[in-house]
Amino acid sequence: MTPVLEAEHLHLMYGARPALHDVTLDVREHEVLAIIGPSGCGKSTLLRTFNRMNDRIPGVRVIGSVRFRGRSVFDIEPTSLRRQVGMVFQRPTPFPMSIFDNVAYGPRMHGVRDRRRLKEIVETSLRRAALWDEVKDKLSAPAAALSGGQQQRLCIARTLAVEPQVILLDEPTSALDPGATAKIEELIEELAGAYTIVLVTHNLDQAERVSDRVAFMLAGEVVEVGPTAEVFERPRDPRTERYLAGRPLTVARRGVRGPRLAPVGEWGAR
Amino acid sequence: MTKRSSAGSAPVARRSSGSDPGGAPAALRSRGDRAFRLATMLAAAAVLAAAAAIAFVLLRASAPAISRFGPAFLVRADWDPIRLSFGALPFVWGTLYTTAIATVLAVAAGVMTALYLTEVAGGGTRAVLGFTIEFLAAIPSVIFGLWGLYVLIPWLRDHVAVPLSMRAGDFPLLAGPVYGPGMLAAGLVLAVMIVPTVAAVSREVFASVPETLRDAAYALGVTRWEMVRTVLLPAAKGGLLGAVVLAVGRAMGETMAVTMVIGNAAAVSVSLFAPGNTMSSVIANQFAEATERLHQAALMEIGLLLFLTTLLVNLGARWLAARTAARAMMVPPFAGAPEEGQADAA
Repeated sequence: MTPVLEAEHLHLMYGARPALHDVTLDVREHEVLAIIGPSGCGKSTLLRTFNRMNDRIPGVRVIGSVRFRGRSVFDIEPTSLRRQVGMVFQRPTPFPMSIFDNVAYGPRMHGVRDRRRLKEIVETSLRRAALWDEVKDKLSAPAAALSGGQQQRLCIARTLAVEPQVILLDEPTSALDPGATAKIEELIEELAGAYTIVLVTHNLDQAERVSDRVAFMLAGEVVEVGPTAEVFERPRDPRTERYLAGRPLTVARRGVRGPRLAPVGEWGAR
Repeated sequence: MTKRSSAGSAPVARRSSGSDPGGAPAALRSRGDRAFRLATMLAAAAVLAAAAAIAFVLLRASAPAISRFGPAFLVRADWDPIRLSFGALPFVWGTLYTTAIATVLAVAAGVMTALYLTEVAGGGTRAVLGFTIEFLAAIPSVIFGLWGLYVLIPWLRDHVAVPLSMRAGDFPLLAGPVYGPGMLAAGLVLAVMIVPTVAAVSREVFASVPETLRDAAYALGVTRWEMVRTVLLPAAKGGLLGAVVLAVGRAMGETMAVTMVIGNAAAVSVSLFAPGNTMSSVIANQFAEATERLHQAALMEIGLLLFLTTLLVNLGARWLAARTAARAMMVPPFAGAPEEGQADAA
């Protein structure tokens, strides 16, 4: 069966600076794939090639192939690709409009005019994003009045409203407090059955908790990919092992803060 | 004085000089601080005093006209230095008319230029065009006046005004006779002059809209124009309003270039081609020859009007901007509503 997304021998350069080097990676139907690695390793860049968001950055050159359901993404109109491959960003990005209009934004732009149909879409999307109960009485309030965690779930709802098949999450909890982070993680687990999810994260515990497979990147390369438990418990590559060893073991998992062993890059969660 | 204060504050002085070896004594330092406070306060007060003095002088100098014509001065269309009968309506009308033409054109062109700069152009074009715009803003207005007089007016007359008024002269907006100088010429020259201001301010406004907001729109599969129309412009609304008001302010007060191309006629006409005068251009045109006290006072009263109008425009702008901001539409994403709180943004 063809993977949903696949990168093959992908190289990417920002001007003369290489950002991705010979990346080969596939994303399978209905899985949660986590991409981990130190800052600047290229994980966000890789994520942004899947929906061609890198097109927006001047001077980007790409060699190799990226396919969505077997078809090169560069042969698909970006607008159509991005409807099928949605994305949520590091910081919540509510539009300067009401909660309702935020969620209805995508469907409206793609031609849904019927008021009742829009209401349906908004309610379904907000329910799926576990935000409905908190906002159902203030749908016409400005989105900016929500808390950071609520704003991020609103952004997820807005992405769901255009009915994508894949959701790319670019460090979706790095700007949130632990409580809001836990809610987003729960949400990812709930969405996993219906969507294919690629999660870029700094938070190794998060990757371990929510992903089926995990890819470790370093300096623009994919070092290791495998089932999450396997990679975390028996990493095959010494570089993966070093990176994973460098994280502080959280109280919740091990009860004590573990030793810091020569971290490869920055370690652990914020 | 020195003795008493040094005796009175001896312990304090010793302690502070102990913690700050080599520094000036505390008394001297606090005197410096007082002097600084006083100097800045005086400078700020001078600004207020200047504004008040201008208002006072204008008011006093225009007193003869105010007592002679009363409030009717505003709506009298008659301006006759020979019979000493004065009314401001033609100039209020001329100011509103030319400002309207200039603002509509300059806002459209300026905002589109800014959009091209921030959303479309690549690095090289962006730098060159950005520099050119700033350069345009620095050209003295008399140059624009000359250009209007020798280039724009002849062209307008031959290719726009005459053909239009010959074919559609029954339509009041396009009625003749055509002289050359007039409202349209003044409005166009003004528009060219304020485009750089509008473009520069709008560019700042667009640049201040977070890139992540654009990303978020694009990630939902919309085109560039859709992103601009539905996300960027709404997010920039408050700031753009500021640009518009700046444009209005500049257009209303601009004197030199307008005086050169407006035709210097005290008449109220709806025609684009009719000569007229604005509040500032009538002052510039007639001050030298106003020998009668009442004539001078009438010009002063027009100056007072211009002063008050400018004040009102500025106040209105602040009010509009504050209202827009209060509607929470300009609150940047994640500006920090308290977690799970009933946040009342702004």
